[in-house]
Amino acid sequence: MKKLILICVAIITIQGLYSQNFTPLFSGTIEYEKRINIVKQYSKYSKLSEDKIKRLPQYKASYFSLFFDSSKTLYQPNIQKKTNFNEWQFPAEDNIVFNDFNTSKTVTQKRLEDNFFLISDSIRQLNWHLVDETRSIAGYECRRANTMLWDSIFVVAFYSEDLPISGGPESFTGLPGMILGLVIPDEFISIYASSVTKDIQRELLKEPNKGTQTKENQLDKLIKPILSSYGKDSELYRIGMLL
Amino acid sequence: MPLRVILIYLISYVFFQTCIGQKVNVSGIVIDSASSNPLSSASVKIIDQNTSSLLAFSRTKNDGHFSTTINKQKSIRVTISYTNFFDKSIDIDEIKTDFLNLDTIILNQKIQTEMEVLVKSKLPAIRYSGDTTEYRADSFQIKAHASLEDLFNVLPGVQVNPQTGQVTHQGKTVKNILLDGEEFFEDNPRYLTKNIRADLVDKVQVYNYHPNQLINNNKDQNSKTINVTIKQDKKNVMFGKAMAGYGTNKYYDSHVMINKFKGSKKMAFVGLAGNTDKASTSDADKQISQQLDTYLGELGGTGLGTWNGDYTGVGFPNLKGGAFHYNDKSAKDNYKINGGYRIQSLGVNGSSDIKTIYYLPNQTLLFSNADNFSNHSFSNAIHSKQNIKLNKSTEIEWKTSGGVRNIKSNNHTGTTVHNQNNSILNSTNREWNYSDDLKNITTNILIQKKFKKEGNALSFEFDLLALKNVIQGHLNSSTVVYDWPGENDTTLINQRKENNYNQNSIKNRISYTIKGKGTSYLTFLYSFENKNIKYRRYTYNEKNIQPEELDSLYSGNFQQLDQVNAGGINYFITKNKLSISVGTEAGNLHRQLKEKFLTIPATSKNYFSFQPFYHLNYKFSKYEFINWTYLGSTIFPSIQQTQPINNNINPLIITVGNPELKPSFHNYMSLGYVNNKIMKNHVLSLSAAGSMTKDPIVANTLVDAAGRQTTSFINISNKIYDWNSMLTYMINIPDLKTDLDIFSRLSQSKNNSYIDNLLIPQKSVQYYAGFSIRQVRPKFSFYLSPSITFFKIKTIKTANSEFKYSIYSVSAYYTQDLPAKFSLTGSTNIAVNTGESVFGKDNSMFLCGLSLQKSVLKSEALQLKLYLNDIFNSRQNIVRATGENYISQTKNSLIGRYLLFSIQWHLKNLYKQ
Repeated sequence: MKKLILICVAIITIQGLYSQNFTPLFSGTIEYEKRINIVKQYSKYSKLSEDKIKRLPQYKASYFSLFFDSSKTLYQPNIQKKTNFNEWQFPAEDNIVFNDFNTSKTVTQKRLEDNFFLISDSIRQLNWHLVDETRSIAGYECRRANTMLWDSIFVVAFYSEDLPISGGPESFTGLPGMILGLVIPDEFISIYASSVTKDIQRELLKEPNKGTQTKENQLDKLIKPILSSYGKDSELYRIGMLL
Repeated sequence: MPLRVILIYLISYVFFQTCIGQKVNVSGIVIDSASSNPLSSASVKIIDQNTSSLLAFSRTKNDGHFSTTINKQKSIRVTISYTNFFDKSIDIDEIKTDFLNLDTIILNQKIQTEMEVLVKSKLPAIRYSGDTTEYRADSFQIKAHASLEDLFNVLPGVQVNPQTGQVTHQGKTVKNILLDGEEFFEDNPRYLTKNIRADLVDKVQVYNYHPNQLINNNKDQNSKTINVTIKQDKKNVMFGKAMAGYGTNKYYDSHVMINKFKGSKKMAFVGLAGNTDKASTSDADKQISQQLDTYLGELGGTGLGTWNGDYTGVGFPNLKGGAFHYNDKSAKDNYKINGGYRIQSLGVNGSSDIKTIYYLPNQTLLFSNADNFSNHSFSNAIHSKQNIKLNKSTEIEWKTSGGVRNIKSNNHTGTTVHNQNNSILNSTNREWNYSDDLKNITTNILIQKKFKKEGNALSFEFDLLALKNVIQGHLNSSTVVYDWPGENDTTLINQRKENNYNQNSIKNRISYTIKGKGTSYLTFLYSFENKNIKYRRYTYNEKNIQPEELDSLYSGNFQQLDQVNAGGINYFITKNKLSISVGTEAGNLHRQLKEKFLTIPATSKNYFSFQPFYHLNYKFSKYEFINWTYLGSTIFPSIQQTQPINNNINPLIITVGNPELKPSFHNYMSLGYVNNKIMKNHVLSLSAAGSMTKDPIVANTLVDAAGRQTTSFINISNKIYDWNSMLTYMINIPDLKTDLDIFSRLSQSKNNSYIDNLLIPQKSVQYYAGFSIRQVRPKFSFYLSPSITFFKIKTIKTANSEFKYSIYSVSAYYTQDLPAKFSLTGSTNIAVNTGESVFGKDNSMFLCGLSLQKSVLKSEALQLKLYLNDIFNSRQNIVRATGENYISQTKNSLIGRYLLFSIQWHLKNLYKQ
């Protein structure tokens, strides 16, 4: 019996080695690690004291999961993994983004202090420029693309054509494959996939539903009164909320 | 007011709707090259060629089919990719219909071992666009610290001659190599290719013409221009290399190259010193030499300065030199500057052995010439070019250059002439030592003004040249003529010579262009040229008496004044696939000649000149076109032909002038066909050209029994014909990484020469064919090019009327990477000359070299090299040449075998602005 199992295993393994035809992944779960260079990000907007710099870690790492099938994606914080720094709230820390590519609809839940906002709109259109550069992320070969958000913020994305869904972390979409790496150099933010698995709990692929209903272009107005007390850091939070 | 705004809005809305609103459907089927099965879920991306902006993307269905819609664009690139397959990109430069069907697109599977190497080639490595070929440097694999020359060597279709550094593209010579559109080291390609690092290069663009040339009459169809662009993120960089080597027999070689690029600024310094044949990277004062040769050429040369200050691979050189380059431009290209300075000291010693056979109607003569020379030159040259944009319509270009060169040359020559019975006719022993001082300055100003109406322009060009050449030397020769068996007549010459050559010339040229309907231009030209030459030469017989005695036969004080007035008209039109340019230039040359020393009366003559041309180009498609060119030109008799300057450097060669000579007229016509099948990597080019000369001026050479030659010139009524055809076929086989070039050339001419007052019609045929194979693999590359040249001349009406010979030659070059960062490079050059046993048995050349290199340090920045030159110590190269009724074979002395050990260090430092 043991021999039989061994032979079976061997056959299956050899079979697997021989089959060169590659099948793309149409559904699964991606784990992302988001890193923010806090010192640099805050220094950009306000002057941090030497003391504070010494006290702060260089990076804040937080974790997100993205569930996807052939037409929908849900991006949300991974509550099982704790961030290394939670002294204060960061913008976009609790974002939940749901995209439906069939209907081109997006529903995003964002939080600022204790206010929740629910933004439902059409999927954001970005003008991507393809760059002849590749790198491997979480075992997938990724290609590079650049874009300018609001004509002012430079964004670099690495997407894999082996995951043929146009999704990605946060509200970044529109490439011929899943975005596994995203860098916003001006804001010192990077989001990289750490793992891609086939497993998916389909029941999780649902729209978020908590918060004040609004549109993408209305959010700026809604958060303005809250941010008025933030002083020099208000711009940092404003951009963070709108990204 | 609001109404107007609304109206404008509506109009522009409708306008943009019509422009942008057009949609194009792009479709096709993607299959696997190996199994021919359709590939499902392959990614299809459509991007804008210019901005690389993503326009649309799609995936193939289960049947491999895809279909997507984009807004109508000028030029797009469709890229198809699939995991573990190579990307395939298709460039579409013009979309004509609303449906673009790309048919079947075949993807090639990556082989595991090669994946690593080729992972970079995502976008097309080569793009063809009309007359331009563009290579993306990153798509080709090169070694660490490779130079531009190494990069050129792996680009399909581009070749660099390992000996001379000459770059060719698809068999055609590349004359200019520009860096970011600007000249680098005054357009000295060798400095550029050796100096620039390949990893800084973004694109290599090959143009059929100089890109700055607006409307070209295609007068120079056989040369190309390369433009090398630097990557955007490598614009601020400092790099360079230093090499030092020492070998057996005190051979040494060293150089330093330092470059600093900062934004638009480019600075470079090159210094070199060496005494091997590899030191020939410099041709610092070639330009001044060439300039002088051009002017003196018309006078038939002074016949005195036999060396032009150049090392051509013959003899034993000793070179020390340096050069500096600088170029910069202002932000909006309103001001550009480009300049440099060179200094060089070059010594060349050596010997050459020339044997020439003359076929005469009733005898055959063998000239044996043994030359020993010891030359030295010291030169300084400076040049600058400035472009100033005064405003949007006016632009000025100002070029200035100047140089000083001093040559000291010692020559010893022994010549003997035998006839077919091997009896000696004459012999000469000559010693000619001289110094040659040259100073020159040139200025060229070009002012271009564009008018409000687009295409209308006025340009004015002003040229100034001042040149001064002084040659002083001693001639010591003894000539024995064996007129009669047993008797001889000896001539001894012991003279001092002093030559002063001065030239000043001014040239103005004005042209006015009017743009007609569509793409048509009409240009009017007028030019005026004034050339003033003063040429004083004194020859003194050196005897023991003072003062020296002037030899009136070989002395003179000559003055030439040329005035040229010429006008012309050109018309250029492009319509659909056809472009035509047609025009003519006509003028008058007024030539005054004075001889102050001798009592020859001053003469003045008028020559009329006429230069019609047309050029047709028809494009069947972007990749297939034909050219048809005609050029007519009047050729004036040279001073040498009408009124030669007596010269007794070789007293057995005498030239007699003919003042009655008329200009002759030369007609040239060529037809060419080019087909670039880019998807299949084929390039086919066929061309044929012919020329006919009316009233040609031919030499009438009289050779007497003692072998004295007297040459005079006459116009003959028979026409001279000449034609040749060329075929070049190039194929690149990507799977084998192999380039195959096949070339052949057939030349025929129908000539007439006068020998001993007899008109002798001749037919000559020359056939040249060969192929070259180049294979570039990651660890191994080789280049092999065998060729054969066959030559035959047939003279009609004479007895010993036919002679023929062949040359078989092979050149090969190979490199192999060995373990532990060692690499081995070898080169071989073989030529076998057949026929004409008169030259003796030893008619073959066999040159081989081998080098072993090791890179050390992690960055491979330090390289150790051991080089063995001329392994078999054959020490000579052999060159055959053929004329109307002669063949000559030259054996030049070479350095021979030596072993050289060298260390090279590379530096690269990128820095932020």
